[in-house]
Amino acid sequence: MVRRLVAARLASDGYEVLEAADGEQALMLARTEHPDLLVLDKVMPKFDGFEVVRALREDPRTAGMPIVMLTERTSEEDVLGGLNLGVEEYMPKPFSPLELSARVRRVLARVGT
Amino acid sequence: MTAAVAGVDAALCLMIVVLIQVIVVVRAAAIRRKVRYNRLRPRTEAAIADLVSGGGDIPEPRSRGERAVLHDVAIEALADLQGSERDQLVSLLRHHGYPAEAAAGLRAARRAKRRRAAETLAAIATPDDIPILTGGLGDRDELVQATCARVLAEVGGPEVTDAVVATVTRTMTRRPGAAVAVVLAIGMHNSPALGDLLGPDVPASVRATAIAVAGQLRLAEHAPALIACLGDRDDLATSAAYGLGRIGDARAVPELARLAMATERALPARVAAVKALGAIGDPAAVDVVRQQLPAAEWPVAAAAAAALARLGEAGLAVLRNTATSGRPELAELAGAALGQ
Amino acid sequence: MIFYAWAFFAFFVAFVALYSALLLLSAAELRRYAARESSSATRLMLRSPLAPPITLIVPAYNEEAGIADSVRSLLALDYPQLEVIVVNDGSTDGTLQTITEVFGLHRVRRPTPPYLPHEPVRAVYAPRSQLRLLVLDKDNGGKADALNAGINFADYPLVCSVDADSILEQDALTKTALPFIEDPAATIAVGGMVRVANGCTIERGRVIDANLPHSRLAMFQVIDYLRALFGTRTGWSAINGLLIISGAFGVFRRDAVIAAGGYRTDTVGEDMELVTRLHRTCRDSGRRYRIRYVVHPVCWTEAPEKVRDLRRQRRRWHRGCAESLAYHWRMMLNPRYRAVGLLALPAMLVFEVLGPVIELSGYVVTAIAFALGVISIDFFLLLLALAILYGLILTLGAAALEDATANRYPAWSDLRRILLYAVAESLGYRQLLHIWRIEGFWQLIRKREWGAMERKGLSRTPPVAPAPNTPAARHTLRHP
Repeated sequence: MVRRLVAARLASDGYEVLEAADGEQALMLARTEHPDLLVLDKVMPKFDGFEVVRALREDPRTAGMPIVMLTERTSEEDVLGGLNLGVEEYMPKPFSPLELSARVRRVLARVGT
Repeated sequence: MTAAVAGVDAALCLMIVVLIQVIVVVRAAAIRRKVRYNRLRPRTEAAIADLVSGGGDIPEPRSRGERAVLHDVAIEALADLQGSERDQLVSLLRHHGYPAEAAAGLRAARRAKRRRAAETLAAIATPDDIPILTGGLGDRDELVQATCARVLAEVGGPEVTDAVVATVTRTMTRRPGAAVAVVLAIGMHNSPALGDLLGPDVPASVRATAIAVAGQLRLAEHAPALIACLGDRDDLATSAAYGLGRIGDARAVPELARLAMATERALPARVAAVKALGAIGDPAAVDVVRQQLPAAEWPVAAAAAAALARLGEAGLAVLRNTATSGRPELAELAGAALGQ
Repeated sequence: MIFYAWAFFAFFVAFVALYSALLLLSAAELRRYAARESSSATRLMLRSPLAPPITLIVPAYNEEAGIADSVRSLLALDYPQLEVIVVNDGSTDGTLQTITEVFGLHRVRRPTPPYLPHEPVRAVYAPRSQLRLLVLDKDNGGKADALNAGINFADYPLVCSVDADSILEQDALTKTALPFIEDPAATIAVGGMVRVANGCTIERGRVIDANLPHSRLAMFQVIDYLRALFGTRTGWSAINGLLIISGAFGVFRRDAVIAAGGYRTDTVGEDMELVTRLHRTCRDSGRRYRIRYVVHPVCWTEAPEKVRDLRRQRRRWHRGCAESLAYHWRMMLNPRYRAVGLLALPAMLVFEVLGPVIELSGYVVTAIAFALGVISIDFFLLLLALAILYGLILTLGAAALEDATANRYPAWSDLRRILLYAVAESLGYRQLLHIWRIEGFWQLIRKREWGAMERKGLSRTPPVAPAPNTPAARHTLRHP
């Protein structure tokens, strides 16, 4: 349901949205479609969010892709835990779609799209 | 003899055939259910997602199956959301009669229906539902009782506290897991009420949970109660000490110091007290902690070394001193504490 | 002869009775769990700060190939507070170097806590970053020894032993932690499900697709694990009679393990021995306690595909099983130990130790009796059928439970394969396992003989089979 909520929010904001049901699909889509921004849930079937980020960072073609990660645990332990692989923003779960919208706008502005 | 063996063989064969049939039938039924469900879900998910971001209203379900799917999707969405959109979805659901449906469900004969109804209320309850929930506290099933109690703790005010507290005490023996969730909810939404669960006349299992919740959630207003628990049973004292360390209230230092020095108390309690003194970080504790450094028990000494590192310049001075001129084992501990 | 047939018969009937009861208990327990699992109360508790911090202990011997991926995926598990302690048990390959490079480790000063004895720790390493990782470099001592070292250094109240080549699912720890949150005072240990990874699609250290293995031997082991874990362990757990928590994946309360003395390093069945000992110490101390098994948290592990490897593994398991029974003989049929003493241990003795002997000798005796004309062909065939069918109930029952709950193999072709192998298991695989069980116990008896002879001062050449204390041997033990 998280995916649907995020997709609907961003679609109504006017972005073109592609959805992936699991980590494997997410990687595939990211590699083929080169989106301007990736919104990832930390917990997904197949690959989890961190693994997707790591895989993307390893590939020079996708290394610079901005990523917003949704995670239940935004404690320092989690973020500083060495797994801060260059995720632009962490959003806590449960989330407010408006808040997500604002952060997405902010990230895209920062990255210059 | 032959007959007995033949009989057992026949029985086994029968059981095997029946089992295989059961496997196949159950699986087929589950698949059918899932297919039906999955056909309806995507549409419903999209509809709910659209209404959350774009506004609008909940689609009217055309069948009982659709109503069930709508219910599940909405509850899931509520679990993922917070803020204004969540409130909006809740009010829409309430407008469409879900509370009334849940209230009726709580009176159902089947336990599964009542549990499901309680879960619905857990997702969409507001103070309007207090009467229904209070009624649910008297249910035959402890899980329903606990769910209602938890929701009351979230939305109710002081008037329901006694009833909630009574329910926790009742359900803790049969369904400890559910009762823990209620105490957690009390701590999160009605924390003054948690004080009622910290007193000496409360059963130990309930008190233990309340202490853990108070400490983990850092509820400073309960520091005095936790300090009182330091004199309690050893396991409760240990938990209280950890909690006080997390809360960080310097008022606890004298009692924690007393616990740390009390050699007749259990080792985990003393270790917890020393660690808490370090976590609170009040330099006034340096003397007491320093005395624990040469303790005969390694865990106490190690905790003391780690704590001294957090007690300001005085503590560090003690560590440096010990690292150079103390006994070898202590020097090792002190050195390690300094290194970190 | 007639007496023998009755004994044979009684054995099978007792087996079916006991394990059917366990199956029913398992079913009830699984249903109760299902009610809790999806409830909002559970979600609340798991998200809350009440989830106890866990230390994962990874004993590593010559694991340079997979250790970095393994540790990384462990650190990324979906759990609020966890630390990973890798115990390099005197590896002779580049395990330590690999992990030092990948995680940027530097040496730190950490005195060895004295809670449990073990081979000396030469050095302790930690990363410069904030990763909760600790690496112990110690002299070789075997898996149990390495675990004891890890327990010593663990910071957190719960410890979890994990094999270096196992893959834990994302939510494995949260699901295992749930009993500890619900009943923190009583819960001492929780075991999780171990599944066969052969045949699964594995990428970047994760299981992407759960498939059944192609290898026939691995397939039989899938059935084996399903039977043991879904069929019996959940049932035993319901009556607090669980004797085995897999060394590949089990979460224990650190203080309870230390109070019990840690893992024994002189047995090959250290995982079962510890659990049995925990029952004993907890019961002796009079405290209320639970040791539980939950099927939903999953750890994937490779199963041996060569007969030789499987044989070695099983012989060791059963030797370990017999050793545990011997060490805790005092608990046998002792009412003080309730379900463990009165049911679990006797069942293990009768069905795991004596069972193979009874069943195999039964085949032989009835065949001879038939050949000599003592019994009719009808009787012979009926008895044979009994010997084959009795195990099938448990296997099918467990498969039914798995299908109805976790359902990891949803395809109909998978189900067909599972049912096929479940039946085929009784027609040769199980009997083969019995032979290996007997070999295992025989090894144990011989080992004690050697020990006795050595004490008498006789010089004897050591056995040809790998001695149980060599590093490699100590690390390839795996209980499901």
